[in-house]
Amino acid sequence: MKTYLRNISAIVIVSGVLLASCKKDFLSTKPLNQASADATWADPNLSTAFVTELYNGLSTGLLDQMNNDCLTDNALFNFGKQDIMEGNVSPDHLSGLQDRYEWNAMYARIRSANISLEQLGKSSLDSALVNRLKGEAYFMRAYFYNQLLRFYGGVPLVKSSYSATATDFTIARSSYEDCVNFILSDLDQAAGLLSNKTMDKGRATTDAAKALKIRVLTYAASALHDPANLKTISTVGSYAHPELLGYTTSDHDARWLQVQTAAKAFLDMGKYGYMLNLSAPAADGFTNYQNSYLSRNGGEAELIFARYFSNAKDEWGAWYGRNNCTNGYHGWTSSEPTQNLVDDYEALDGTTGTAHDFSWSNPADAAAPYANRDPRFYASILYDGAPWKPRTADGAGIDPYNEIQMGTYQTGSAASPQPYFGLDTRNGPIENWNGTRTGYAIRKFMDPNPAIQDQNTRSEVPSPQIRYTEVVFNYIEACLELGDNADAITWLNKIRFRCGLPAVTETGGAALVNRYRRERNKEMLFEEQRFFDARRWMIAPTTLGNKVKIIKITGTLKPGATVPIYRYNTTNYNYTYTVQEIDPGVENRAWADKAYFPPISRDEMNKNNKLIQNPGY
Amino acid sequence: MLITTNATGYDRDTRYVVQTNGKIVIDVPYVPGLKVTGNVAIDKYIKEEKSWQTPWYVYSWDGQSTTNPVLTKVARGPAQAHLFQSDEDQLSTMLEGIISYDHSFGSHNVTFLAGVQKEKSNQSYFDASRKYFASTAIDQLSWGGNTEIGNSGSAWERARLNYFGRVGYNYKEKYLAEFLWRADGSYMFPTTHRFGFFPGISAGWRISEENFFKDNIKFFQNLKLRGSWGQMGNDQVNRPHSNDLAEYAYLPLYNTSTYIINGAPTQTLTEGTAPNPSFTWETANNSDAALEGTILNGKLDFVLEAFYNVRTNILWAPTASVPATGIPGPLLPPKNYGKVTNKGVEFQFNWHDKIGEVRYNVGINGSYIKNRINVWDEPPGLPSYQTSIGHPIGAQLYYVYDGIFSTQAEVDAFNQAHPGAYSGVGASTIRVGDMKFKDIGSDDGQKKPDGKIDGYDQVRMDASHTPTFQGGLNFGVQYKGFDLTVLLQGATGAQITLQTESGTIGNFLQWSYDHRWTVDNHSTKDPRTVDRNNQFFSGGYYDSNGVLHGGNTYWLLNMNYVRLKNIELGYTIPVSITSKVGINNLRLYANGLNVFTLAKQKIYDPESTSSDGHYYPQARVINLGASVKF
Repeated sequence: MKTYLRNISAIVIVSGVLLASCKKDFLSTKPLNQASADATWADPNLSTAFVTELYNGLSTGLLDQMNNDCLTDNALFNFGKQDIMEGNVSPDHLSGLQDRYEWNAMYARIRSANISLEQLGKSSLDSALVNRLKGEAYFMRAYFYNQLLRFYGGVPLVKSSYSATATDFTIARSSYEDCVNFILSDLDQAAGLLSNKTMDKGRATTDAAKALKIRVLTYAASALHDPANLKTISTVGSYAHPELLGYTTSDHDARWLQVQTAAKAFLDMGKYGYMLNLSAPAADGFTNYQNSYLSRNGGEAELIFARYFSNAKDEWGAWYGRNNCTNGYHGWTSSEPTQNLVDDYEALDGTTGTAHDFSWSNPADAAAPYANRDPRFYASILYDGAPWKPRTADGAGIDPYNEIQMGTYQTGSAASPQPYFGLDTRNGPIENWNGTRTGYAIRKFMDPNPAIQDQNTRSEVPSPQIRYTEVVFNYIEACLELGDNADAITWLNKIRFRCGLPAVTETGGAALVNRYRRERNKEMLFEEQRFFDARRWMIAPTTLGNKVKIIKITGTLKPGATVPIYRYNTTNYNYTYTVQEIDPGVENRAWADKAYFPPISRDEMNKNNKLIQNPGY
Repeated sequence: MLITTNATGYDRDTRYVVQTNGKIVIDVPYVPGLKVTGNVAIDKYIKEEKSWQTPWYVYSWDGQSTTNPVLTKVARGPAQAHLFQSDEDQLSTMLEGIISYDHSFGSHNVTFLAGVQKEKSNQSYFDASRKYFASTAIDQLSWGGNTEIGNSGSAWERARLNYFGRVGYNYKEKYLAEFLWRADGSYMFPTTHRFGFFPGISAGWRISEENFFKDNIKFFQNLKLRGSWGQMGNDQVNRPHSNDLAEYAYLPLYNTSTYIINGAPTQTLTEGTAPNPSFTWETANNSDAALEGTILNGKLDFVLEAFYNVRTNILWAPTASVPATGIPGPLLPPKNYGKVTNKGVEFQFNWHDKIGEVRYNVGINGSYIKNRINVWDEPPGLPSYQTSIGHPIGAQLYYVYDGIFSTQAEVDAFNQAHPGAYSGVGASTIRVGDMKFKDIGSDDGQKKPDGKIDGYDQVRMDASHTPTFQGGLNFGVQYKGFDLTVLLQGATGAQITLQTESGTIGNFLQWSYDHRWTVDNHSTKDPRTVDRNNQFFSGGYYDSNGVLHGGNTYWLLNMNYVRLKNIELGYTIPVSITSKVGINNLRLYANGLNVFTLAKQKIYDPESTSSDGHYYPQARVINLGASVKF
């Protein structure tokens, strides 16, 4: 009987377990680590969080390891040739595309912006918050579309988010004009929704929307997008769809007038700008320029839209110092200024205060190429003999003077000299595989604080996505295009005075335009401008197509001199400077007209048969 | 000269695993053969990690001083110590109930079984970290600096519910048949598609038990024919480009991240997956047939088997066909649409016999498998010679090696006749020592040369890093107290690409040194040395999805090999001697593992399972030992 009872009760227990396990929602486990879309859009903080993520689409901002200027005549990338600079891009060979404007990255962010706008459109949260978030989403969507537009030309305008179960993902590219109008309408929406709102640092503002609009209008009015000019490009001449690359009608004056009006209105607000109110060259142009790019000591007044970095978060853009400083400081010298850039800085005459263009055939210039140059040269670039931060412990023993060494010198006595390779060269003793190939390194945007040892410390220098000086330049360009030379010269001089340069001597015509272009290049160096400027001004073949020039520096001991530890010193050394073209095996630059409009990847063309490829591919 | 050191801190990974099982079997009274079984399993897993990184110092010699060497001390690693600790905790429970019935009615034997199993797992994780320790004396979180304090935490839960059963019948152990089924439910799938039904049948016929066989054919001691067909389900699918499971891919969910606003990290939310509201189990349809037997008076056993497996409804994210303007690749949810076939044959022969006092056995086995993709996600419009359909999984696209531009004259002639022909692969002109590629396809996807080398000249090769044929030969001899066993194994059909991080940053293989074009040796076979992938013929790279980009056939290594895997010679000292000291069995032996290898390439371990050879090579090991039984 006992066994019987025990067995029956055991059967009952086991059956009970079996039956209890048949609960239908046993398999309905919950995602414990993710927020549901419904919960997010019903909550003000979570909705804000979703919109804030859009700013991560700025990626490193301008402070990437490979500066965008490496794809121009201003700089060279240390780690691998860039096919677009050799005229060698193709749909399955896209070259080093950066995620700040690359097709896949931008459309991923555009999708997030579309989802934000869709959800905010039916949100029942407080309308002040909803409108502010919508303003930010419109701004970022316009920003991302402009990144695509100025790189590829007209692109598909995706205005709503797709569902994963959609059956047809194909979509055609919209014309250049439609894209411009779409971006402008988004920016107008943003400016309206964000007006009279105080925004946290890092977020879009109504002024950012206005400044971006000026940038878009400037590009659209430029020579490249005028149909008569497009036809002159060899690859576009017989292209069947020029409407993807520019307007279909010319309207030079009306378009530039739009730029001038918008820029003038922005300048008249008088809200931004650092040291742009001088009437004579500044005494310390070097410090002014440094403050403006570090956004410090008043330089913050330049920032209209910025991407900030903080030591509280480890991000790649904060490693800009290590990525770009010289190998003698255990850095990687990733983006290297070229001799082509350095040659463009003017030389100053100390006594008369005038400036002239530097030339190697001018013996005074050639004897001391790094003396009395445009103060922006000293603030932007590290060159042979430049004073910089304290060396690391191993470097300090070799260079106790903290001066950049880019050449091949001698130490010991002049009678029996020992060859000595500079610490910051590819023959130096410290990590020489990271040494510069051009003889220069970037200094702009590096924090000069000696306590920050770049090799293992992050910096908090923000990346100026849009700054006031660009708006000023766009105004100047519009004035020049419309013949208002006086206004243009006034503002151009304000920019020059800030960095300690005298007023321009040109009064008009092509000479003044050329002066403006050179000024813009040097002032906005490494700020993602040259790549697009050279294209929209259609000067790319004679600029971006130039071979990279580098400098070889040697220092030989003067007779009777004895130097145990090297230091730059013209009393002890005879320096020779040889400018030459870089070995074509490193990067053999050549311009191909198809590079005006880089290709869409073959993968994307295969997935979307409505896409039309850019010309030349 | 720095190799390894523990002066940089430590990284401790401690895991505790407790596994408990309980089983209760109840014989139901009054019904012989009827049983009820309950199973319970509770597993607990705890992982604790503590990683302590301290600053360390490297001394460099100035290269000149010898009697009193001058050493400069340089700090490396973090300026101040970092501490990271994490705790992961998992609890899994399984409950199972089974009813089974076994009975024989005369020569008929019947079995029946039905059951249900439910599993649930819960996990939680958190970690904490601090930096800027003032001193390395105390490695506890409270002693760290008070800036950049980090922590994070997460959790998940998983569940499965399975129903299953089996009906079996055999007649006199001569005819055997079985039908089984499973209905599996998984939390991975949306509510409407949670369950999958997977039946199977198998049958066997012991031909040697048939009367006509027993009476007439003495040749076979045992001969059996068997076959089966069955289905199994799979719910394990990862998110694209990731090792994480694609859980809850039917719900719109967001992940958390940060962005700097007002100088501080602010929470942000980002889309996890674009949801797919209807997807379900992958199904594997496996069928096989085999003939096994024993002949020659029990001396020779053999098994011959053929199998055919088709996996359908394979879950994959369609990253190759959905454009970026639609949904970005990493957000794509799994969809059921793949189909892959595996077919092959296996054989085994074992012979054992004795000659006088010497007993010996020889065995040989092998299997040949062909793997083919039938339906896969691919960009539409791929030329037929580039599609992965019809090729094994892991078969990549390659440019085809066609020799070297070995003399300057050849290069000049080529550049003049075909300027920019190689710009599609990134070479604006050809230089001496460059590799030649075959011009296979043209822009319109046709397989005809077009004078340019670009993406259309890549060809899908038929081999992957998985061999098609694997086999072994084993051999054993016993004589008196001696025993000898030998195992040889080999495989053919696998190919991997030679990829090393060689250049100014890393070393080159001896092989690369011996096989290169130089100014003094204008090789017509080997190209110029490359620096870490900086030339168009470098051999490409694998992306996060395991797809090779820019590879070429020059770097393909044939992984065929035969290896003496194991050889062991032993001697058991006669029991009569050892029992005197109370030992029942004392055996001395010498054995060798991986004693020698014959392989087509001498660079990588041919058993490497990695597609680019990054696999720690196995060592040749010689052991001498004794085993003692009391």
